[in-house]
Amino acid sequence: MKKLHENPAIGLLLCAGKDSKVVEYALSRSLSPALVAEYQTRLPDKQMLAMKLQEFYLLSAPEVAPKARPKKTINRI
Amino acid sequence: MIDLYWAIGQHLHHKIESDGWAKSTVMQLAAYIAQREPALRGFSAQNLWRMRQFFEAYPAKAKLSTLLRELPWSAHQHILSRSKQPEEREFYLRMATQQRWSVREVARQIDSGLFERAVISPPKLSTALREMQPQAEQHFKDLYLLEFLALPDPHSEADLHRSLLMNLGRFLTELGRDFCYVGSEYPVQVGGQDFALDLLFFHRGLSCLVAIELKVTAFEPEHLGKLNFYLERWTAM
Repeated sequence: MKKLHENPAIGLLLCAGKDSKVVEYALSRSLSPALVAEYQTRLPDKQMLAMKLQEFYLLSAPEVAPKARPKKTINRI
Repeated sequence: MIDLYWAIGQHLHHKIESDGWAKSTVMQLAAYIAQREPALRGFSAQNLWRMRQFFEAYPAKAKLSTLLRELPWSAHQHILSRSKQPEEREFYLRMATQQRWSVREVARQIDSGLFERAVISPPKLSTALREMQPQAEQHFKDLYLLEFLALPDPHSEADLHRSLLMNLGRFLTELGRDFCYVGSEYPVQVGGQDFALDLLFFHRGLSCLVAIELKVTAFEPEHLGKLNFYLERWTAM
């Protein structure tokens, strides 16, 4: 199946959803060159992604991020 | 042409900064060009303004000049108008040239938030894969967007499989430029038994086969079992 000059085959499991913790645990024990990815049939909300990105930057570079202001309480409706 | 637009943008930028040019001056300039060279297109006030924006986005052109020249003006417009941070713009510049995206694809990828996806969630690789092919990480994503299939929710695995094959071109674009289609329901013989792989691709950059198994449900650890079984079978051959 694999030709001599090729690298070992990679397996990609494409699922409709996943729990990152479960995936991490399963992959850390896997002895095969595999990866798990998710697919979506709708475009994501870009604004939501941008907010997540902002959070990510704040978490990964706290020294550059502006001093955190006291959290506002959000009234849930 | 990109160089010319950049140079005009630079000129306008300095005029606006130091000589106090305003929007109306730029409009007069556009009107003057239109009158002098009626056959010349692409120098409307709006486009002149965009050239200035273009220069201001990439003032240090030397670093990105080859990248900038490789994309058409309309692709630059999408990147400029919709991504705000310099890292994000550079990311799309690099991806668009590397992946040879069409202008439409540039717009789609920005809409799909590829940059955010790539930064927030890197792909989930097994330890074995990380060790064997560390560069694999940059060729896969954590989330693939298949909105172009227009699949209803819920859908069956057969539906997903079939529409991926019917939209193979677009699926290949979403996977990445280096993927080549090898087969569907690809037969694998283990012992005396026949099995079939959902989809089989070849990756030119990694120089290896990529077997894709589809699941229309959420991930379960046992899903990996079958895939590992095929992969082990191949390595053993």
